[in-house]
Amino acid sequence: MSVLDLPRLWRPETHQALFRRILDVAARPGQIADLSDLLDGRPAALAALATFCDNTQTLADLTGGLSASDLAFLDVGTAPVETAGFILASGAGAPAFAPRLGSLDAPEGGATIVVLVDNLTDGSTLTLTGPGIAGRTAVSPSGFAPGWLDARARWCADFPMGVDLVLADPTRVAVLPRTTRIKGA
Amino acid sequence: MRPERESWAAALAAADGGKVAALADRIRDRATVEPLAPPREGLMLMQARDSVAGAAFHLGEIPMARVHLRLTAPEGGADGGAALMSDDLALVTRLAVLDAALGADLPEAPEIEVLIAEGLAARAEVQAQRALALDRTRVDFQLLSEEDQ
Repeated sequence: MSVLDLPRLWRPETHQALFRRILDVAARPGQIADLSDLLDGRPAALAALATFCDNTQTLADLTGGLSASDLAFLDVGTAPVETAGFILASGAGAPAFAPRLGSLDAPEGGATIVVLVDNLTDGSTLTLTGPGIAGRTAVSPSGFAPGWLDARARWCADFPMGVDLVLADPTRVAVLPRTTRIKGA
Repeated sequence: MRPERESWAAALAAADGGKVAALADRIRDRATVEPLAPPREGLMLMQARDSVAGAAFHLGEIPMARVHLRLTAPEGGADGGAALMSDDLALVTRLAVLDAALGADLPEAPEIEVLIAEGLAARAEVQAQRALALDRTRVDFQLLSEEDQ
């Protein structure tokens, strides 16, 4: 008897492929990773969380969209949004929470926020500059409230403390690390 | 009388491995098994507590495997699980299948109970041998003190 057959999203080889693609776009802010061939119909945000989370991490789901089964497969602890290492939030409205920002001697303690947006390419253009970007580039998310940019500016004001954003539409992700400078449309 | 559920996996792990595998595979062949969480295997830190100050410390790393699944057969189904100090994920999967089958009282339940009884007897024998070996190392410090005088 073999061990159990897992759904594709939860197999180690899928996580390895997801990790490589997300790492690539995290190193090149503004680029978009298409994950559709790995998702089997599940949302890209869940795939990103499956890549980031394990039983040593904490997650706050502000969307209520993760099922009990999803949480069991993520094998992640849940925590209040103020202390969670990872946050799943909707981009439709401005954030009304205070995420973990890390500290000067441990800036890696800042939260990673996976933001659900409608589409990464048909919204208002955001101009990006900073490390990992040759000159300037752009990303155009729709369903991403302007209040997110204001909140991110506040959270990342005291670099190296801050948060990293992962924008996810149904099948793709883009990463906005705290080092990226953003100018809204 | 059926023993407590938390002792099933340890007892089955001590029973005849061939019989355990054959029975679990027979049940799985006629049932649907779906994972409820990713099976895990790897090393984990074993925490112990010293008997003087009561302070916690890490005794060392141990191999650990864990499976959580749902078994559905024509007669019924149940969730099952097993966690064992082992790196044999196939064995732990079989123990989880038997745990679910006994929890659901499938027709194979009496066979599983026989294996659990065998495993409990084997564990009791090992524990008795260990207790005997430990007893031989017992030292009466009061008597040693009297001999010194």
